[in-house]
Amino acid sequence: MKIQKILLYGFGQHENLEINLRPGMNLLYGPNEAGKTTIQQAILHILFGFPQKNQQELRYEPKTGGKYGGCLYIEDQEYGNWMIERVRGKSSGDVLIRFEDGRIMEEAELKRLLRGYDRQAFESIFSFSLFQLQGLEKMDENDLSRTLLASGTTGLDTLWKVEKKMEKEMGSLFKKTGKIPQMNKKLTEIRELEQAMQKEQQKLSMYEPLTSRKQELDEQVATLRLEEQRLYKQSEEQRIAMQIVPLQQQRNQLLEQLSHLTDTFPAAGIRRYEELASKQSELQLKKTRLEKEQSEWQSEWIDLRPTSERQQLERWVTQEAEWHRLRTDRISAEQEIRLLEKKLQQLSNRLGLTHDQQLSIGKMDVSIQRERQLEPILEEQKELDQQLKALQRLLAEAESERQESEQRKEHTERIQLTESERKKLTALPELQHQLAEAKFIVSASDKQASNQMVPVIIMLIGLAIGAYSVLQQQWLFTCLGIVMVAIGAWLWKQRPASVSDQQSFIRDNEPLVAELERLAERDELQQRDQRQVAAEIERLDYKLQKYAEEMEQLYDQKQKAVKKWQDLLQDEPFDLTFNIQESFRLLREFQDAEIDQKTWRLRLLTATQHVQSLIKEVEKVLGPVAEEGLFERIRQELLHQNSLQEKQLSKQKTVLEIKEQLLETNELLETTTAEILQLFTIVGVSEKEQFYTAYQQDQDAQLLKRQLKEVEAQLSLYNKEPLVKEWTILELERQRSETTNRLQIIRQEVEALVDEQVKVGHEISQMGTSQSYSELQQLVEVRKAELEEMTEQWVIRKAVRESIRQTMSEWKEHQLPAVLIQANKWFSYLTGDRYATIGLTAEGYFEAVTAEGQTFMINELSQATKEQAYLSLRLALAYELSERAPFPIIMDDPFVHFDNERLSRMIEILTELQPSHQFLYFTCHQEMKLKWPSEPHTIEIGRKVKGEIY
Amino acid sequence: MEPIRFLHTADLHLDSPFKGMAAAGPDELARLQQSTFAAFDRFIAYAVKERPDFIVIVGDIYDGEDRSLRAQIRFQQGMQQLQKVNIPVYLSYGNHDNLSGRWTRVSLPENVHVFSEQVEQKQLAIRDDIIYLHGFSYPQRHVKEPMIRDYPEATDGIHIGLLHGSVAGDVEHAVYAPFTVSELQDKHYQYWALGHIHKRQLLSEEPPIVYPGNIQGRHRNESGQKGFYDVLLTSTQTSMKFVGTSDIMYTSLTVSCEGIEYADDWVSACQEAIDQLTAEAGSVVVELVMEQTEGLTNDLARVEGQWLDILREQYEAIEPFVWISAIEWPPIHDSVVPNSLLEPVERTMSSWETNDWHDLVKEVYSHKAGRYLEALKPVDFERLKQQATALLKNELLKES
Repeated sequence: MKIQKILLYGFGQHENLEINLRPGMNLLYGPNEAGKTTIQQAILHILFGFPQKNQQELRYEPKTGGKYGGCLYIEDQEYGNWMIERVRGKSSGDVLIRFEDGRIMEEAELKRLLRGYDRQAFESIFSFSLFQLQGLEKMDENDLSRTLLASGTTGLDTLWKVEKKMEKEMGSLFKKTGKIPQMNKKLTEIRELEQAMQKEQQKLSMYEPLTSRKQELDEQVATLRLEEQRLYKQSEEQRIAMQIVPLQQQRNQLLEQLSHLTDTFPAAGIRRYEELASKQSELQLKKTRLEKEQSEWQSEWIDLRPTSERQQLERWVTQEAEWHRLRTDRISAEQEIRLLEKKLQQLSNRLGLTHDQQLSIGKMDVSIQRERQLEPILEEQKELDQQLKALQRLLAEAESERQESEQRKEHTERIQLTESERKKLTALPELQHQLAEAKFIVSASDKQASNQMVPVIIMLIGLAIGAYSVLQQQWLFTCLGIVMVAIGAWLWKQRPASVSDQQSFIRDNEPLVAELERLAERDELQQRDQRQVAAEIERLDYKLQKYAEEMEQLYDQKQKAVKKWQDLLQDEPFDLTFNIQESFRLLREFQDAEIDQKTWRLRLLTATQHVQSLIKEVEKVLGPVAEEGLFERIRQELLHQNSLQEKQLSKQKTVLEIKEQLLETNELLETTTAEILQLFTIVGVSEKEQFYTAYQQDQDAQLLKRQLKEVEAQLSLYNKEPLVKEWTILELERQRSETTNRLQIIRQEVEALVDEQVKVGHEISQMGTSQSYSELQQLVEVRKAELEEMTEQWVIRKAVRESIRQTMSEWKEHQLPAVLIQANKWFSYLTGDRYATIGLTAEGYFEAVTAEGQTFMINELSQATKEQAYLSLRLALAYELSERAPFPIIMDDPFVHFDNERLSRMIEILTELQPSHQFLYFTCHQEMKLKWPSEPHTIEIGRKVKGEIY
Repeated sequence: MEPIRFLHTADLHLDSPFKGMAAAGPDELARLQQSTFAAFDRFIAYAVKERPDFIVIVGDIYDGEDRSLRAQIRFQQGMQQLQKVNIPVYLSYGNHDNLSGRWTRVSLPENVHVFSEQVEQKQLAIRDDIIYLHGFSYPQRHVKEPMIRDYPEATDGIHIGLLHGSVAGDVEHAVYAPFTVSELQDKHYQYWALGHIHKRQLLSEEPPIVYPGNIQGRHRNESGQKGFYDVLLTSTQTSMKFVGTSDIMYTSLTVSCEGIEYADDWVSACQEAIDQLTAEAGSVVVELVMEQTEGLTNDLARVEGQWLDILREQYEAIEPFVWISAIEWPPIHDSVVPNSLLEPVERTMSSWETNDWHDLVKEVYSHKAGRYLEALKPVDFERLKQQATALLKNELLKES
């Protein structure tokens, strides 16, 4: 592993520094403060990380504040060439590792590239300065040896820890003599299981003996069961005998008793007697009751009217509707009469009649004929009145009109023209003519130029029209043409005389003419009005005269009509003139009402007579009765009479029935008494008491018979008659208890045997299906498997532990000695064989031994020699480790104390190491490069090496 | 000659305990132990259904010299079933159930014919043919003599040899009644019914020399389908049909973890693979082999014991029965442990010879614990070495 190139972006004083290195020796020269140590530190920083800010080591951050960090290009035989860049980032810096082939690696992988070395371990072997060598002085042997041993085996601690852990775990798994470790526990478990298995096995070995025992039991039980059966049979026989013997004795006894008793009592005799006796007494009772009833009925009296009366009552009831009708007739007649009275009163009021007049009205002729006779006279009268009225009105109108005309006449006279005004008016026509002429002249002169030709043109047109119309024979147009020619000729003749004179004339006379014209107009109007009014007045006067004549005529006529009317009505009791039609109608009504009233009075009378006669009739039968409740009373009476009649009928029926029953009861009583007698005769007694005694005897006999039957039934249950008749109960009892005892004993025996049989059978069948043995066996296998697994765990732990131990001791015993041998070799060469070896004391301290065998502790050596001893050891270690850790060796002027000879020897040793290690030798001594036989690759560090990085 | 049909089975190992079942609970164990009986029941059921002319059972009916009583009774029941359908059974006892063992005998029905300690011949008439059966039972556990020499050469008729033993010179198995194939062939029998080796194999075609294997695997080395042979002998040829009886199969299953990073995905990948396996094979004891684990998060592989438990929980108390015996992970490569530390130690370990290993384990193996442990072979040491290296790496990683 070699550094090819160092690139520093910013590190201490260095900025953008590039240093190319070669395999083998690289001499980096620079005077003091050139930054040699900075570069050396930069390499370590980049590889192992920037120191933490709180650490002692310097971080070399650029004071200028520029980019911090750098990059190393590494040639690596094992992993392939790679570069590492470390720049400012997290406190140890951000790392980028890239391989030549472009692979990028995680920071975690860096550890592998650095072969597991950390900075401390790296520094302890591969990087050292004079200062560190000087520091050697302060170490005691112990420190030194530990440093040496630990260097290059950074994980030693780790391995040691792992070894301890394995040891511990092994201990928890297994101990030769112990109970707690898992495997020991498992062993105990297995042994226990095996014991349990043995027990189980023993149990199972009982199978065969148990089977034979079972057979034995089966046989025994069978024999005993036979014996039991026999005994049981015997005991049963005895038991039956014991039951039968007393029964037989009882039967005999009963038969004996029965032979003394007769049996003549009729079947159910007592019941029959008792029934008859009760029937007899019952009948007796009935008879008495009936007789009593009969007498009661006969003594009862019923108050009933004779049939004719009842019939009368019924008839009246049927007349009830007639009765009510009569009564309502009476009432309505009364009402009607009252109403008519009222009406008559009203009419008489309306006609304004006196009492006498009323009475006379009846004789009045109010016929329609008479009415017609009167009517036209009255009408004529009326009409004349109307005509008179109309004529008077017309007369008044004519008079007012005449008055108006008179007024208007006055008015027109007031507005008549004065004399002066009339004079002026006479001059007007002359003036008008003059003015018109003047105006024409003025207008003609105005149009002279243009109008010169106008009359000519008009004449021409007129000729043309005339010619044309002549041709066409249109005479109207011919006239037109002549007119036009005339106009044209007139116009031609008109010639303006003197225009200006004419104009002034017009101005002077125009207003005067206008005024006169107005005056003339007024006069004319006034004269016309005057004429009109005069005509009007004349006409009205004539009219008035005519009206007066007419009026006179009408009065005459009226006088005549009145006279005629008065002649006709001279005889009437009262005046009919007022309203002849109405009076006639009312009079007629009055007469009608009087007639009606008369009729109603007649009807009332008849109805009242009927009612009174009926009441009288009824009172004759029922005594005094109010008219209102008459029929109520009749009906009640009728109902009462009907119920009485019914009662009478039922009484007659009941009396008949009772009579019949009485007859029947007497017959039954006789029969019953006969039957009782018959019963007594059968039993042979005459008294009731005797009959009962006979009955008691019969009852006793019946009981005995029943008992006998029972006994016989019981006996019939035992189909076999007892074999030995001479057995007594006592003897039987004795024999039976004997049998029972024996039976009991045998039964107990059987029971015990059967119990055992069952138990044995159960055990056998349980054994057959028992899993416990195979379960245990399986469990043992499981435990064994577990034990095996644990053992495996234990074995691999032991293997790890042992391999670590062996490796460590191998290092101690073989690698370290190898290092020492190499170190000795170099040390003695460096010192020119002054010292033979560097060795370890028994206590583990280093010591140097001279060629003569004299030993020196390290701190007893001179400074240079001490440094040489130290260097020898380090280099020997690097040499030994060259395969595992082929790192470049970085040195900071460690040879300054060396004399030339020892220095050249040192350089020889370094050369020897060069194939496997690259060397970076920093020095401030320019002549150092001269010490090498062939000049090494030299890099000068200073301001001039400052370069650019691309 | 009319065709003769018989069943050939051996090594029933009824009620045998199962080895290497560390961490299995009582339920699982009970289920496993039931499996030899279940396999035996399948065999009997097959016989009752198919009605072969006879049956041969060549040794190791019971697992132990003590002959589990339960096993004996179950066997007796099986034989009674065969008696009911008139199938004669010819059997010999092997090293496991040798005659010197201490056990309680359960009587077998009359259709069962047992070979005695000496090689003997039994005759059987099937229709017009006489069948001669030759065999012997193990008088004690070890029979090292080549018993084959006592077998007579065939005469007329059909000869079938029953032999419980192993081929001479087989280093893998201890020597029991050793024989060579040619020795068997020289007897000119029509069929050699062998027993003792649990792996099904045909040593020769002419005549058939057959190990039917056991009927139910009992540990990881007895993997795959197990069963017996249904043999049909005719005058010209012999045909054999293998009939599977395994109730639970021992097998291993490779699970690819490609593209899987997190634990839950890994669990479901494993489950998927196991479910597929059980769909084909039924109940299993399975060893999972992980492949392509590069993508997995590191902690998944490093606490594997825990994951095994989690997986096992998924299959608790369900049918088909699944027991995951172990999970095998590929070694960790991506460690950053400094070689300067690891290498020397590894080198030291590699330098150890078998003797060094024996010394290393002596402490336990010479202890009374050794009695319960299988003797270690060089293969084991190699495995242990790898495990130790992995442990060392892991520990160094943890420490640094």
